[in-house]
Amino acid sequence: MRAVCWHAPHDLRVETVPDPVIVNPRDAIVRVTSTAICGSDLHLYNGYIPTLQAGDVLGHEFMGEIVDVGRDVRGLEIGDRVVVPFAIACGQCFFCREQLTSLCDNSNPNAAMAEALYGDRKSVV
Amino acid sequence: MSRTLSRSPWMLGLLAAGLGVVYLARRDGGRPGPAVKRPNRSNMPSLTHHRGIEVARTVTIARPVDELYAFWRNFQNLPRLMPSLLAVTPIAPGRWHWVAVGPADSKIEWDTEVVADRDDEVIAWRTVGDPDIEHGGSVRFTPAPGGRGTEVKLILHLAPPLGRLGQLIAAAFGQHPDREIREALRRFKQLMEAGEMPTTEAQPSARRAA
Repeated sequence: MRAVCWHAPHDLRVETVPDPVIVNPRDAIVRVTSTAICGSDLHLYNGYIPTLQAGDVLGHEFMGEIVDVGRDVRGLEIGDRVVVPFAIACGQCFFCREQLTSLCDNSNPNAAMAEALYGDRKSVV
Repeated sequence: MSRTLSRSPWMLGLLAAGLGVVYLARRDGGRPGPAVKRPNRSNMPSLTHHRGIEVARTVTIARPVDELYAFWRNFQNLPRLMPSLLAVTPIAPGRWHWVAVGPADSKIEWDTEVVADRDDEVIAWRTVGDPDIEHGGSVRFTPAPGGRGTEVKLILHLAPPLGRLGQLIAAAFGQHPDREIREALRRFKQLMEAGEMPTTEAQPSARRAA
């Protein structure tokens, strides 16, 4: 697929990268029809996000069409048109069940770093 | 102006992280501490002469006690929570054989026996025979207040991390066992609540091969 990739501050390139694959049972793959530039993309663009690596794909607010779903996906089918929010959530933890999805316990793949920033000295990575 | 404002939170965050690292380094110093003062707990395995270190962490999981207990009671599930474990296999009732990644791609192995097992409450184990890593562990399940599921407390007792034994412990449980069990509990929560563990590992990118 084609993607906007960050290589260095102020150095973005449109490149061909590998197509995504289903990894987890509740993954979905969306063929993007429209996307946006967000204010937070400017932090990436200007090089202020230390975990960003050269080649990373930008874009986190988009709409498109479902082209594949994992085996445990409910409520979405191939061909559905969807809008994807930037704040992802698991839908199953205490906060998600209270509809406080922005507080999701489970959707950060690198939560130890966030815990360290929030003051848990034991979690410093 | 706006440029300065948008930058400052990150700088503060980095500064905080930096201070945290310095504090940790001062506090831990990379040295094994003296024997940890231990509260009196029944059913907790202890190493000979109470030497070694103890690490403990607790997490609340929005699932019923019996479901979490059943998952943990089958030690074959544990490599899903601790990636350094290659396999845990049953050898006799209450006895398990563990294989973990050792230094320089070697394998380290040990056997454990279950020393306490009460339905929906606690499971405790300790190494037997001549293990590569002498350790004991326990996991305790307590119904959480307010219908929030279950509080899960994981405790590990490890022999002093010195010399070759220390290298083996570091390979199997990480340089910082406390963080390893925190991550194990985090994976446990993700798996039991969401049915999967989030990852960005397979995300497409134009990164060059490392």
